[in-house]
Amino acid sequence: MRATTVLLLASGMLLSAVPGLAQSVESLPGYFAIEDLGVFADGELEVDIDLRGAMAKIVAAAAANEDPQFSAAMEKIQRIRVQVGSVAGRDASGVRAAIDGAVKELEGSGWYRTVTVRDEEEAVYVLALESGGLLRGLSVLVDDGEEEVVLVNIAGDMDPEVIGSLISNIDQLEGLREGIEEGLAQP
Amino acid sequence: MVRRSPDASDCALVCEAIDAHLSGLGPADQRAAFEAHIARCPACRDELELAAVIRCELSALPRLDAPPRVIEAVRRRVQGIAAEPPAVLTGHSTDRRRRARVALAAAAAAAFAVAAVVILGGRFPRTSHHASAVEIAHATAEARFAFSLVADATATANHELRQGVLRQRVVATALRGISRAIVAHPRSSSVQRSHPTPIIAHGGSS
Repeated sequence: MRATTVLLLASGMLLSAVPGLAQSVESLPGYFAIEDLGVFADGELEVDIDLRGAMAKIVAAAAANEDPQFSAAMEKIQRIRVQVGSVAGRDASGVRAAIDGAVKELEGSGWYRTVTVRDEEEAVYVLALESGGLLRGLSVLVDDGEEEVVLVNIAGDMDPEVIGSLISNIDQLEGLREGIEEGLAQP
Repeated sequence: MVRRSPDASDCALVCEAIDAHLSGLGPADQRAAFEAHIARCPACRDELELAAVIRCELSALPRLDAPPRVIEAVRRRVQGIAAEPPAVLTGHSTDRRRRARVALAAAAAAAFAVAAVVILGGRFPRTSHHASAVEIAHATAEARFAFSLVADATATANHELRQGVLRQRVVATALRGISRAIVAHPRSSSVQRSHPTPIIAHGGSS
């Protein structure tokens, strides 16, 4: 796992090092530095994605024929950050407090929650930042209460309908897949 | 299935048959007996109305409207799953972890490919304005993974909503069952009233 993580981090650095692809997007209103939460300690990070605007446009162009919906969503994206890691064995309240603090910080900056699931076991938040009829940022913070934490930030000038439709289709496909798997698991 | 004189066992059988009735299932004679019981039992009529409302609410949730390529992808996926041992699902958390690991594996494979490109250096033509096919594939997988995480979080909320609705129905059924028992057995009523904490089911979502 550690070797895989190192490879992922290395590939991320290589991609960001490509001339012309690296941009300073920290000033974007929808950008949220998920790494600043400090949720993950050394060795806990399993997935670390940092996709910048130039590469997002290349991806959009490459997907234009095969998947116009995905292509349209990618066209206006400036940055995608994803961190997924295991916090098993850690103080669960500390992780939860960091996530709750981030939610408050985002809400204080004009973000609003579109999804909130919170109970003793897990916390799931999806927050959005809108202005001028566009979706400037989308953030996901998940603590599954067992071991995994997922942090996502997508920043850009996104059409809410395009993003909503894309997410809905993924959701429906996932729901169908779950149904199929559960059906096949029946004796 | 349903006897003429309504009692607790009749009501229990009718409650069990509500879903089948709403789906139009079951032999004609059983459906007739069900409807006869509903006509003379207000409690079961309430149950039926509640079940109908829940069914309507659930049907109003987003339904599959997938393009042909998605259906084809699912079909291929089903064929692949059928060849594997059935997975044991314990909930969304497990599913998320599994997906993360799958994505991790895919990303790792792409990372190996990227590393190979770097190691091979100038053997692959590339300018500052053109990413290689491997890099594009890698970035595409990463972007799709990010959106799938957003979708997963949304799906979790929908799942909680559905579970909440179903729990409400279970709670409503249980409470009505208790009220019926209180009417049928007045002594239970005093016991119930004296109990400081009646049966409560928590929705679990906020």
